[in-house]
Amino acid sequence: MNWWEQLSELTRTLVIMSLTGSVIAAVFFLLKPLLRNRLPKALLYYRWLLVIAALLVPVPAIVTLPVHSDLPTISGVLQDNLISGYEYEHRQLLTETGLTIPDTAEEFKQFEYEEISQIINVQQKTNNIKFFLNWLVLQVPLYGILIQVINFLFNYFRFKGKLKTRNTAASSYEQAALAELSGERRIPGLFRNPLAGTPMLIGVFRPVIILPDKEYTEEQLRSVLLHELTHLRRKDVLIKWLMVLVCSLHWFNPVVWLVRREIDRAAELSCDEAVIRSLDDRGKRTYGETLLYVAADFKAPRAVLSATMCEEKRQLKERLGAIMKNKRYTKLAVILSAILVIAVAAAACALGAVSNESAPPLIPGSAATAVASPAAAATPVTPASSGDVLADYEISKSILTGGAVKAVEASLAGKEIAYMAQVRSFSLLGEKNVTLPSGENAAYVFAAYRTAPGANTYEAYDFVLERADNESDWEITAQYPAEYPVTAISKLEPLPELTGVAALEEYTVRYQDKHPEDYLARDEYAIFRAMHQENPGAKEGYEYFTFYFGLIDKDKNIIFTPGKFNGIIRCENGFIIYGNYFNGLYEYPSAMGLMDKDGNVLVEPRYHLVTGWDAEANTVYVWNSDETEEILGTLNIATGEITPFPQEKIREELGIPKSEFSASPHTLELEGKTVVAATRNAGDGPTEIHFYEWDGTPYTPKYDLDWLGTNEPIANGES
Amino acid sequence: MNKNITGAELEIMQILWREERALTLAELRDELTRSKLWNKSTVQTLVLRLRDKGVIAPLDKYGPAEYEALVTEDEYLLAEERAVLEKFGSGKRLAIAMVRNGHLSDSDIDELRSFFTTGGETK
Repeated sequence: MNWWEQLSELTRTLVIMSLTGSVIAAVFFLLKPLLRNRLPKALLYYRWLLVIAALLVPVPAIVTLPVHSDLPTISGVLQDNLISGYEYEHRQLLTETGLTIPDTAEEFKQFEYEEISQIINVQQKTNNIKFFLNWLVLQVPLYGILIQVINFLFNYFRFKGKLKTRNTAASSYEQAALAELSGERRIPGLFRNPLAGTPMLIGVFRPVIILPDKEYTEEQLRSVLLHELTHLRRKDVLIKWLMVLVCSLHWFNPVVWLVRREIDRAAELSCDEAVIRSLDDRGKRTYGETLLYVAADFKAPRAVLSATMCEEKRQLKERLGAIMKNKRYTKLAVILSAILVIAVAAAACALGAVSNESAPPLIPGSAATAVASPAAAATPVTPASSGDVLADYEISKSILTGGAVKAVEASLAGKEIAYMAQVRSFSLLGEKNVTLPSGENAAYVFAAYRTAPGANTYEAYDFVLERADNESDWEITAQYPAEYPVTAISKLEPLPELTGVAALEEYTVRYQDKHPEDYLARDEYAIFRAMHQENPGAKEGYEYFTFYFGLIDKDKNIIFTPGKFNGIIRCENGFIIYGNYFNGLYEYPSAMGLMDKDGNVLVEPRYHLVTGWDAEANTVYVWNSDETEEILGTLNIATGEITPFPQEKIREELGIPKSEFSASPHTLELEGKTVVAATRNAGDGPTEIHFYEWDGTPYTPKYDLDWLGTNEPIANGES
Repeated sequence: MNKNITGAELEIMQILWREERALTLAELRDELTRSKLWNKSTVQTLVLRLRDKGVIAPLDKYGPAEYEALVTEDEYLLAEERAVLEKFGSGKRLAIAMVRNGHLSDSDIDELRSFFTTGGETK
């Protein structure tokens, strides 16, 4: 299962931010020995703001693909930005299966919509424990953030509250010293507290300085207050809080916790540097000694691990060393070093950006599946890396039969073609009074190419090609901008290494499911399609392919003999299967049947429509598979008996003449119910609709059905 | 400062704090075997343990050892409070302390002091 795809957008953005921040931090850590004594401590401190920014500001990793269309869409026809790649692929699929192709865009949309809603239904129904756990595990990063935030806030307020109980006001002498040092600035609160081990600054909005219950000389007091006031002036508390946010967000990233420790350290060094800048040598010595005095007072209990001791000691030693040396940096040195840090950061950012791009492909198969799923058509699509263009194109090209492709390729020379498909006709153009050529010497090709190399915006055209005869070259006779805005290119999943299926060796096999891993992960079957060239070695443009459909499990075992059916489409609880049905007079290539999700054929394909699967009663509603298209009624799957729908009785009850009466299955989308619509249409007036259950009892829809319109007959209820 | 005085040890400390003087092992034993019905050897074990922890110490004089408290009751309570405060460590990290954590021993401080005063000569 492709887990990267499974992550929510939010989690993905988080992981990418974490990676970018870590890369920059890693560069800083690596450069630390080189820069430590050469740059002002302030610069060494504030450079971490870059890391904080990288960790808090989402990178534009999730790019919304802009809708592209040259022609104004016909109003009312296309309300949503349904992806055209999807449509074309389905047209292709339908052509291959020999199914009725919906002719108008509206019909196609309806067709597409139903299939999507079926998929969604299946997904909603599958809220079993496994699925829930899977979901839960993938959401853990987000729950972790919540836990971290609560943990931080709880600890902070408990700590502050506990400390506050022992606060006593500082002496007036100490207050005066603070006021003097604060100068024009707002004077923070000053308290003494026996619980405090060291002088500290706490609080964001009303910061206070807390001193331990300990005597300080005048000089020591000044040093302590100067130190804390410098922290206050530089808003270091705010940075601490930012780091809390960062650590909460990226709690799973150990680098971030290292960064937090490093920032704390750099803040102290930088603060010391700022304090001693205004001090003479004597002042510096006093300041350093005050640090030691404070540290000495804040001693450890005996039984503390020496490892921590070394760490604290090392830190204090570094600070004392810096105070003694106290380099003065010339303006030029500061500017140069700033430039250096910025350059390093920029390089790191670039690296981070590269890691961004490569992040999804690092995870197996993620880039390959980064195509729009039908349900996600309107949502942003994670861009596939440009390296996949050829793969996309090769796959799409491989299902084309005509040499017409060559002519289109030639005309698009220099463009990065992302998708190409042979289509049967341009339905929408028909409405614009464009007469399309017909016959075997006419071809239509849909092609989409990227507006710029590697870009995720596409330009798409429908090409009309003609040739004089079988032997002539194809020529493009017309070219129309694609009617559908192309927002993403979808493609079929390659299916690697089929095992144990000798019959499939000479077939090109692909998943038909958009996200086969979803089904396989739930131990359900995915639908595959196998393509077989019937005349191998044929001259280009004269190849002849046949297509087969079947089911496959996660171990690549095919449980269904390919070639048995013309098509398989997912439906609630199982699959609708298509096959040939010979009624003794005619062969019906698109007869429908039913298969459960374990691959057992429940109803052989022989009906024109199988709908409304009632799993409990084990019944489906069927429609006759001949010209009469008459409603048969309720089929009991177990017994094969059909309880007829009392069509004639209803017609008589309603008093509708035979010529004006029709009855057809109708799916009430909002109610998730398939009923029979009995209609009266005299041809000149509004259609009168009556809904019935399949046993003949009248049914009143719960929802307002005014939108059904009054003039349009809905007799053709293949919906 | 938290020397991890256990509940039983605290009983002994409380007697020392209440009496405000040094007590011999026999005096402590009498008090506790009467009020708490403790075993004699228990008292001895606890007193020796407290001595090892450095919370009490025998007076340097001739005769049976008299133990005095080295920690006042206030100091002990403060240490307890600090220990509670330490539990909210991640909250503490949101305050800016002048010196971090403070896990330094006397010898560490001495070493750092000489490092500072000699201008970093010693390594």
